[in-house]
Amino acid sequence: MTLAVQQLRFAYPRGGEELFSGLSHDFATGALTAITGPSGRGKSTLLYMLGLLLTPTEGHVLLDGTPVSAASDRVRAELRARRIGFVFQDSELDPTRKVIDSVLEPALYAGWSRAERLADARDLLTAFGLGNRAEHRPGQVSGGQAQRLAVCRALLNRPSVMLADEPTGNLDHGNATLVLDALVEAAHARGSTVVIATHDPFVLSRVDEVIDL
Amino acid sequence: MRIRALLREAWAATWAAKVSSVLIAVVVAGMCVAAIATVGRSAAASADVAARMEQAGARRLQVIDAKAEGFINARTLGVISNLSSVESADALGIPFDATNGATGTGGSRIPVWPVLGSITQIGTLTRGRLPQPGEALISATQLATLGLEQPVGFLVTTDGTASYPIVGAYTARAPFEDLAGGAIVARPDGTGRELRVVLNSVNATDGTVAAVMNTLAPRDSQGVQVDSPAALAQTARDLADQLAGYGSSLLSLILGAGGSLVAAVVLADVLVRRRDLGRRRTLGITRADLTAIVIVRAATTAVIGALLGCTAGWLANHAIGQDTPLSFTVAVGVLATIAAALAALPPAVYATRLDPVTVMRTP
Ligand SMILES: Nc1ncnc2c1ncn2[C@@H]1O[C@H](COP(=O)(O)OP(=O)(O)OP(=O)(O)O)[C@@H](O)[C@H]1O
Ligand SMILES: [Mg+2]
Repeated sequence: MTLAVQQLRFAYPRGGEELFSGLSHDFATGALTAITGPSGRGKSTLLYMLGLLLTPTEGHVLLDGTPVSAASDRVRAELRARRIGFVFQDSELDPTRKVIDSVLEPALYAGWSRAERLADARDLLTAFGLGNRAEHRPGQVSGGQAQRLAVCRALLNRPSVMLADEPTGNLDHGNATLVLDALVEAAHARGSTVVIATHDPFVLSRVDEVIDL
Repeated sequence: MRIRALLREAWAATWAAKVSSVLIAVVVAGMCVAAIATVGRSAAASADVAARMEQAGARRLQVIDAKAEGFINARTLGVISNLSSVESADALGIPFDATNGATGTGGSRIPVWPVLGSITQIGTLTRGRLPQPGEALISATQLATLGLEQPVGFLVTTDGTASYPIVGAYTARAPFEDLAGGAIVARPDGTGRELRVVLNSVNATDGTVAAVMNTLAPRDSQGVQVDSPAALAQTARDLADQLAGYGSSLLSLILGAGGSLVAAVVLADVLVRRRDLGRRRTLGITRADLTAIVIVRAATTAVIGALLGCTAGWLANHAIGQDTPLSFTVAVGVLATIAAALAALPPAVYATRLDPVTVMRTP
């Protein structure tokens, strides 16, 4: 099992109720899992915890069977760079750089040189129909294109885990479909464990498994 | 991260935040100009005092045997010449008057100094040859006084009891300029009235005076006049210390004030670019690499500022006729860059402590 949580509990340091009440779950490898539930139940919080940015108050996040949520900051940062891909609600591309540089960013953090991964990055863009956008700035592409670029960035290091927080939240149906297609491909064709926090019924209709918080 | 990737990211960030990059460069340039315009001038002044101190005139030590005890002689002169802190030592006897032997005792008189040591230290031979004991050289400027065209003939004392063959002419050297107005006679075995020593450095004054006095060992200290640059050397040292002390506290003040400004600019930039930092942390940059990017960015712009500031400061001083020592100018640039890089460290560490979750949750 690539990704799992065990007896997870979390409470934000400053006040707030306890979340997840001892959730245990094995996320199916090569499949899409949606996390859904009413607002404020901790969908985003769970994603950040799976992304090793928050440490559970109790319980563990396991990667390949190893508890990693309490590892040192350096180890967690390296795992994020090499093993985990992030897609935010807003694409979060660096507005000052060409989109090709944004897509290459996680590769640099994982210890690659730009030149070593440039061809891969271009291939990804082409595969997602964005080949002619490489030299644009984020301000020069549409919201849907930006979000697909963000998916490319998350895919570049061939992560075993992809985390997406409301990835279709700001998109119309057509663009939402394209982004979701990309995530489905990441799971089914590339074998990533994809976890999506969402309350979009359209997304829920296309995932393999749903966790209702 | 690879070093090249890190530098590339830092450089891209420098371009992305032009305003704060320019501010950092301007602050660092200002630090350099201020340091060179104030401390640089006093550094130039210190260098000037030090250079003047090392001119031969200032390095001169003189001892006079007022009671004619005879302690200035070939033996003591030999010992003193060989002291390691002594550049040259020479001794003169009591001067007497002499005239051109050819015109008799009635002609124009010039003073004649008996010389105990090496003639070449006193003057440069311009004509003729060096004198043997009992022979004379005439100052080139006094040939006409004696009615001579060539340094030939002989000198005779005014009482007519002694005469000295003239074998050449000389021009006097420092610190024997006063001997330009007469003649010298080689008398290596005589006793001297006056000992003139040129030291290697004014800094050696105290020790050399002690060694010279030990060698001369006068019986009656009342009969000895010592004229040394000790007081002068002390004044110069005090002045240099004062300038250095004033300079280093002023320099720390400038570096401190400039560093604080750089820290404020970097901190403001970190706060403005929170989201950029949060994204990088989420995508997996380590704290060490993020710190390095922030510091390299500040240091790069600081280097540019330092180059401009040091050039401008040096030129400004040059324009008013004061050349700042190059080593000092370079040191100021290096110090200002280091100060800026150090000042960027606390905001850089703060940047890595920002919680990426809080930052990314904030719309
Ligand atoms: N830094 C924080 N400190 C304290 N409480 C917090 C903090 N961040 C979030 N919370 C609280 O934790 C709970 C879970 O928040 P979270 O954002 O994970 O919910 P969510 O399920 O993603 O909601 P939504 O559907 O609105 O995005 C909420 O009640 C929220 O108010
Ligand atoms: Mg949420």
